Amino acid sequence: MPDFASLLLILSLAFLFLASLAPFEALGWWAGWYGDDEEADSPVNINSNKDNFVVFLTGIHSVSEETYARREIRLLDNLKERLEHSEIIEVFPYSASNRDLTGERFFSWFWKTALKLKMNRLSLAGLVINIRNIFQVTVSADSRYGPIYNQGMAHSIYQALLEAGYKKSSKTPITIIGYSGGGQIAVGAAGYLKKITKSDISVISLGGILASEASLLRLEHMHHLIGNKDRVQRLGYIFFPGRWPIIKFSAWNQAKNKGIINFVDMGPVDHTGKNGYLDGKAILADGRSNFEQTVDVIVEIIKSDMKTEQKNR
Amino acid sequence: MLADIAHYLQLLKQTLFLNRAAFLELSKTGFNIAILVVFLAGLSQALGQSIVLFINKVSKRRFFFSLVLNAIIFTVGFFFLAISISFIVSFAYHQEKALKTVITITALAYLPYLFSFLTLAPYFGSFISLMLSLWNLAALITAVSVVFSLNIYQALAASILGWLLKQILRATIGRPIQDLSKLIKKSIAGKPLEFSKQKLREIISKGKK
Repeated sequence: MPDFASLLLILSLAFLFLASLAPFEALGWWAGWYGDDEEADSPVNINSNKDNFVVFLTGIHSVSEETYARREIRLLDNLKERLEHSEIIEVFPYSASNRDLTGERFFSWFWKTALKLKMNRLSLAGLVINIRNIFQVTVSADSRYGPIYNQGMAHSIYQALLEAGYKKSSKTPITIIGYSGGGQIAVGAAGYLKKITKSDISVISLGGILASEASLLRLEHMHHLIGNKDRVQRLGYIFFPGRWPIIKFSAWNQAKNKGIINFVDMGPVDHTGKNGYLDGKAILADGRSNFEQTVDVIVEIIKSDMKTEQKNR
Repeated sequence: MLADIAHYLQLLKQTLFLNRAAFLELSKTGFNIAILVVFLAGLSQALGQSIVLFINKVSKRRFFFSLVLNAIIFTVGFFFLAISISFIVSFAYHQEKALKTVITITALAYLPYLFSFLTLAPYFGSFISLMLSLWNLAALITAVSVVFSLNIYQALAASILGWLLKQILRATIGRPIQDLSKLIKKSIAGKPLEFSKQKLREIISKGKK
C-alpha cells in the first residue's frame, strides 16, 4: 500500500502525463498527419440573407458538435426564436482537427461509453470528459500551442459558417458565444477567424475561463458575462497572469483600456447547474429566471452590436 | 536476472532522490545503465521539444526517426560535458578518476531528464522544464561531490565550469559535429528545418497551408 506522499506523486505524474498528450491533436492537425482539411459541404442554405451569424461553443461537458445538455438546447432554441435575422450554428470547440470525440477516432468507443455512463448519471465518466476538454482549453491558452490550436478552431468555425450559408467575402458580422471553457476558445479563434473572413467579430463569454489572448485586440467587442457566485470563471483570473492588473501591457489589460472588453454583471448567479446561468427555476430579484436573464442579455448584446456594425458600414 | 533489475531500479530511484550511497554504488557498476539513461533522457527531451518538428510539418514516419536522431545527438553532447567535468576536476582540484567513472556519474545526473517529455504539458511546461534543469544540477553536484570527495561548493564550481567548458567545446571543435548533425537532421526530416523562435512564429503566422 503506497503512502500518501507516493500516491500524490503518482497522481501528479499521471495528471501531467495526460496533460502532455493534450497538444498532440492540434500539432498533428498542423503537421497534416490527419490528411488534408476537408472542404465545407455544400451550403445548406445558399441564399442565406441573414444579417449576422452566431456561433455557439459549448462548455467542457461536451463530446461532439451538437450539445446534448437540455439547458443549452433550450438556450439555442430561444436564441433562434428571438434572433430571427441571425443564423445560429454550433461547433465542437475541443478538437482543433474538428473531429467529435464520438466520431472517427481510434478511441471513439471510449468516449461513446463515457457519454453513455454520464447520461446514466455516473459522475466519474463526466469527470473524464471534463478533464479531457479542460486540457484542450489549456492548449488553446498556451503561448506555444495556442496559435496552432486557435487557427484549427478558426478553420473549423469557418467551414461550419460556409456550410450554413455564409458567403465568402461578404463580411457578414459574426458573434461567437463561448460558454465556460468555450469562452477561451472563442476568444482564441476569433482573431484568426477575422483574418479569414475580414468580418466584424464579437465574442460573448458566458462565464468564460479566459486567458490574456492577443486575439482580443483584433475584436470589435468581447462581452464577459459574469455571475458573482461564479467561482469557475475566476480560474482564468487566477491562473493566467496576463489578466492581473499588475501586468499593464498584457493583451487583456490593453483590450480593457481600449474598451474592447465589456464586463456584464449577471447578479447572484453561479456557473452551472442549480442557480447557474441557464437555470430556469432560480428566480432573480426582478422576477426573471436566471435563464431568461441570460437569454435577454445575449439577445440585447447581439442586437446592439448589429446596430453599431450597420452604422459603421 | 529479475532480482538484478529490481536492485538497479531501486538504486536508480534512490539516485533520483540524490542518495549519495546509490550514486557511489552505481558509479562502480552502472556504466551501461547510465548510458541507457542518457539516451532515454535524450529521447524524452526530443519528445518534449517535438513542437519544432510539428511546426516544420515533418511527416509521421520521419518524426520518429528525428526523435531517435535527436536522442543520439543529445548523448554525444553529454560526452562533451562528462569530459569537461573530468578535465576541470583534474585541473582545479588535482583529482583523477577513470573517465568511465566520470561518464557514469554524469550520466546518472541526467535521470531527471527522463521526465522531459512532461514539458509538453500545456501551461505547466516551462515550469517543469525549469524544475528538471534545477534537479539535474542538484544531481550533478551530488554525483561530483560523492565521487571526487569534494564539498558542495567545490562540486558546484566544477559542474558550472564543466558546463561552460562544454559550451566552448561545442562552439569550437564541436562546430563540425553540429554542422554534420544539422545535415543529418535535415535529411531525416526530409526538408530544411527552422529552429529559431522567430522563424517558427513566422511559419505559424503564415497559416497552415
